[in-house]
This record gives sequence, C-alpha cells and structure tokens, in this order.
Amino acid sequence: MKDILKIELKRAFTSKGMLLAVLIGCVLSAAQVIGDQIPVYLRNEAMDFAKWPIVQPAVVSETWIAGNGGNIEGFIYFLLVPVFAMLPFGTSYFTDGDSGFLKNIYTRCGRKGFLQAKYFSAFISGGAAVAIPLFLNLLCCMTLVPDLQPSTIYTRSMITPAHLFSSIFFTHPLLYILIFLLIDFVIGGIFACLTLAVSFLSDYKIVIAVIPFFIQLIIHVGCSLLGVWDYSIVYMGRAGCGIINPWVFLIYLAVGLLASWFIFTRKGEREDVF
Amino acid sequence: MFLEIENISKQIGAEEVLKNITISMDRGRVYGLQGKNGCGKSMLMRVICGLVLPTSGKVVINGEELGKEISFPKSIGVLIEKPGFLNSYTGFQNLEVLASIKKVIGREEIINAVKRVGLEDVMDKKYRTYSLGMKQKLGIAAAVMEKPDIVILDEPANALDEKSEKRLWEIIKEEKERGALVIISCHTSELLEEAADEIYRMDLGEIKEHIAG
Repeated sequence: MKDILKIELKRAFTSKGMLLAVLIGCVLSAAQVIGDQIPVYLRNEAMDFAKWPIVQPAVVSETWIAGNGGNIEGFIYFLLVPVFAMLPFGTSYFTDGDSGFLKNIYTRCGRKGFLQAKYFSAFISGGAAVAIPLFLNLLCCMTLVPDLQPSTIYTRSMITPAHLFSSIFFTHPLLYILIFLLIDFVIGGIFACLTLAVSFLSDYKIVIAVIPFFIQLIIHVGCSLLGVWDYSIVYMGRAGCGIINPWVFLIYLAVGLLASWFIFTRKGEREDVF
Repeated sequence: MFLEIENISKQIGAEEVLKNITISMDRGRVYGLQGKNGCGKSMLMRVICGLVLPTSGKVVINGEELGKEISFPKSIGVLIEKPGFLNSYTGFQNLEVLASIKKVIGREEIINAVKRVGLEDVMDKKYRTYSLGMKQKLGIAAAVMEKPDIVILDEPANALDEKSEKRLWEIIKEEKERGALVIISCHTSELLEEAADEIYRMDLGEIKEHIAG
C-alpha cells in the first residue's frame, strides 16, 4: 500500500485541480487582505493608543480571513470549502474508472490497498487545498497586524467564554488559530472523501463534484432558517465564529469520516470495473 | 491446467451476459476468443482478470480461486477495450508509475517494452498527445512489460497499422514462447487463426464452438 499511496499522493498534489483550488483560495484570501486587513492596518497606524489606553490595536486572531464573521471573503471561502476540497483528487476515482486506468492499477495492487490509498490521498490533498490559502492569509495578516492577545472589551470576533477553546483564544491566540487551521484541514479532507464516496451515485462527473457542496449548502440554509446558525459547517470552520456545541462538530466529523470510508471502501471493493 | 473457468455466468440487470462457460487453459499457449460485438468476449476477460465478479461459477488460477483465495491473478497483464492511462503523464511515466507498484522490473525493462511496440520515439510525449494507435501500443507495452504469467489482450489490433499489427503478432508469439498464457479476442477469424492455438467462438454469452489447433 505504501507504494500506491506515494503514487496517489504525488498525483493529487501535482494535479491541476490542486493548483486551481489553491489559486482560487488565494484570490479570495488576497481580496480579504486588500478589503479588510489593509484598512485595519491603516487604522492601527492612525490611532494614538497611548491616548486611549482602553482601546487596543486590532489583532491577528480577529483580523485574518477566518478571524471574524464580518468579512464576505471569509464567508464565500468557507461556503466553497467543499469545492476547494473536491478539486485536487475528489473525483479521481470516477475519472480513473472512466479512463480505464483503474484496470491497470487493480490488476497490479488489488482493490483494498488502492481504495485505502485513494481515500488517504483525497483526505490529505483536500485538507491541504483548504488550509494552504488560509495559512498564506494568516502570514499576510501577521505582517500587517500585531499578534497580541485579543481584547475582551472591544472584540471583532464572536468568541465568548461559551465557545470551545475560548480560554486558548484569549490567552494563546496563535495556538487557537493553529487548532482551527487543523480543524479546517480535517473539514476539507472530509469533503474530499465525501466526493469519493458519492462517485458511485452518478455517471456524470459534474454531478459527483457538486454533491458535497449542495450537502453543505442545504445544512447551512437549514441551520440558518432554524436559527441554529452555529451548527452550520460554514461557521464552525471559522476561528472567529468558533464552535459552541462540540458534540455537533464531533457528530459531523464522525458521520463524515465513517460514512465516506464505509461507502467508498465497501462499494469500491464490490463494484464491477468495466 | 493453469487456468480453470468453471460454469461461469454473469447477470447484469435482467440480462445474462455470460452463460455457463467452462474453459481450461494452460501456459505456453495462445487462446483466441472470437465473436461479434456484444457476444461476451470482453466480459469473460474481465471475469478472468477479477475486475468483474461472476454471478455464479468460479475461476481458478494455479490452484487458487479468484474472489476467495485471491482477489486478482498474481501475475497478469491486461489490455481490455481501451487503454487507460494518465493524460498528464508521458507514455514512459505512465509505464513507470505502473511498474513502481509491483517493482518486478526497472527502467531498462520498461524501455525494452516501449521498443517492442515501437514507441521509443514518442515515449517522452504526453499521453494526451498520442494517436489512437499509439495509445493502443502503450496499452500492449503495459500488458507485457512485467512478463506476466497471463496476458489478456482484448481486440489488440484495434487502430494499429499493418506494420504495427505484424509487430503485435510477433509479441504474442514471443509471449507464448516465454511460457505465458495468452488470451486474445478479435471479431474477425483470419487474424486469430494465424496467432491462436485454440479458438473459442462465442455468441450471446455462450461458447458455441471450440477449435483446437
């Protein structure tokens, strides 16, 4: 399995989809830098904080793309997470089957090892496609805005003591950001694996590619209409919105990982390859 | 016998595409499957490869039952219907990727396989730029490069010019002399009669005639 995993990872990370996902992510990220971070930087520069000791400069943990709920670029980015995650390798099982490449692979390494390698590669590449632009945005933010502890009085984020990891947010903001980068990586990985799992549902690549996005959209709209917006994955992945109910998040993770793993490996092992 | 196919049937939806097929095949011989389009040749080949699981019956390769003791034949090279490779890789890179899975051959053997099919001048070009005939040749190279015990070639002469076709029959002969069990399919009989030791004529998913040479 190690050899096929290496092959699949190389394919995923050198794919055009990965480049496209990172590129679109970086465009949104750059738009947030221009539209949000630079004005914040200019305000920080203009403000005489010595005169107003109660006011503190805007900080990294509340200014980067996922640091607050107020920037439209961040909202679009997190709404499109399933698309970014799908682009590198999500539809690769479908295209391998469609092109006939699957026949060459299966007869050399068997189904089980290949399916596992495909799943892990999709997870890692999907996660990376989502996390890389966020990380670059964070680096940009750190060059413009000071990395201080966020104010508990004038806050741009929505984090309250009721939120998961809120104590880390107010004491070690960078650690909090890194935790959320990891969470976003996992969310991206799960969406990429969900795309693999739905490969068996349709004969059309485009349908398979957009199903996870519509799952996310339905959950988001449903949660918004029911007034439980914090249950939406679009907000859960944003460090500045945070996670209020960790159980909901854990259920998403468990269902996403287990369902995609079970469907993909079980169906893949039994499906005839034509 | 090296390969035993016992009462294989395959049902897809309401249609039975293979009906009680029983064949025994041995190494060092070339077997031909002949029949019109849709008669079940490719499906039978897929069953032998382990790509399609039969509804009933069994395939035993060297004493091991496919789908029970082994999920795929341990040493097999296949070209079924269309050759399947990665578009963004060169012909050589595609073969390199496939060879890196089993690691039974190195760079030299890959180059040798490329030369056998006559693709040495274009092996560094992207697969997507290949013509249909070149893709077919690369598929043949992939099937034989690791010197497998079983070589399955479904309509291998598709899209090949006259010179390449001659080269193909030479390769099949070489594989047979090496001791491989070669199964080829063709919808015309002349080509098969030239290359195969035994021919199975198929129609509507059944073996209608067995001609032993």
